[in-house]
Amino acid sequence: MSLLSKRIILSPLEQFEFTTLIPLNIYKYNLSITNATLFLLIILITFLFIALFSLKGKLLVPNRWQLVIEITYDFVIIIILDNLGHKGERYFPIIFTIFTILLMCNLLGLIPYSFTVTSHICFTFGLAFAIFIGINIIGIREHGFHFFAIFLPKGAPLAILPLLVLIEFVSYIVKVFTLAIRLFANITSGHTLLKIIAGFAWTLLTLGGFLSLLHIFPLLILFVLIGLEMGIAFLQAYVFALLVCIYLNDVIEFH
Amino acid sequence: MPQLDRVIIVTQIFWLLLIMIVAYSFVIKRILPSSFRILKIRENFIKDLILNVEKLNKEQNTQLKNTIKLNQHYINLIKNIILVQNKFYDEILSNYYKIFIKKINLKETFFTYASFMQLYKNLIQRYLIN
Repeated sequence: MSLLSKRIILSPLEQFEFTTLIPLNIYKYNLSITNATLFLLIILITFLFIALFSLKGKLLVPNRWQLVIEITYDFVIIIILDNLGHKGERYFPIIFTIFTILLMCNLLGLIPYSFTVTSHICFTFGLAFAIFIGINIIGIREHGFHFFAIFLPKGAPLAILPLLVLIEFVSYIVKVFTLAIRLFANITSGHTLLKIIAGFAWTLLTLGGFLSLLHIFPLLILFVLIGLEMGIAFLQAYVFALLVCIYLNDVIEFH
Repeated sequence: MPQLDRVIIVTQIFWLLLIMIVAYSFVIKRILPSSFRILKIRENFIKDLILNVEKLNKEQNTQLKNTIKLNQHYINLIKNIILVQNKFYDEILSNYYKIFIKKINLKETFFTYASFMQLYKNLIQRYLIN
């Protein structure tokens, strides 16, 4: 018991560690299936099953399972219509996929002893960078060479133009990092905090005597914090989808 | 932090992209068409219902207007009937007067002089005194 408690206290970051399940090497690249991949696969399969199961009947008056998909559909279409208008409807599938997958990743990570995929910077940054490349391609396809006017604010005096272009360029590049780091930092900090408080409660419990009764207070705090974490899990998925919409809007119609 | 481990980056991004592509193609092929179809059918259904309700409302309004017009017409008719009746009663009444006057053998002129009753009284009084 003391060994367990020691382990928990010493490493609240232990929950983020990768373990290789099936080693797989293609050429010189390591493509082995880790626990993160397993959880991604679980999420994918759950997603497919919920969708298939709920859209099986295609009822005019929806049942509860069908309502899950329809509420998500409505939620995402409202985000898109508010930020992009009707010309953003062609980007609906990608926003829908990003939102649902991120939401399921965040929510699945809250189950004890599970693994949170979105708490990894490589995951979030990979996603954000792929979206960034996509946004650039969309912008160049929409505007052609005129796309580079995004770095040039309208009506700026000529003297400070080089500086302004530099600032705009940096702020444009930084978007992808903020997108990645916001999600990663929120989820990581939340899970670390949960682990630390759970470890604290466990330590109090193992002390014995009167002190072991006090472990109920950290547990109560943990209970409240898990509610907060669920809110954050939803909010971060929403913010990610919303920011992708806003960045798309920046690129599609600028000055 | 285990997140900053460089060894796992390639495998993570590979699996992430693979799974996102699978999910995206599934969303495009299966989820969105069917849910869009359902929502469209429901929208059309609701539009039809709203149109029906509007139609019924219009019909109701026209019916209401018609009934108000009809009511006004009947009220006017009743008023006319009452007027005609009154005239008729007046005629009957005056006829009665005539018959009454004939029966008691009074001249019509008596009634014309009835307003001068006071004058007659004075005359009679003066005559009696003298």
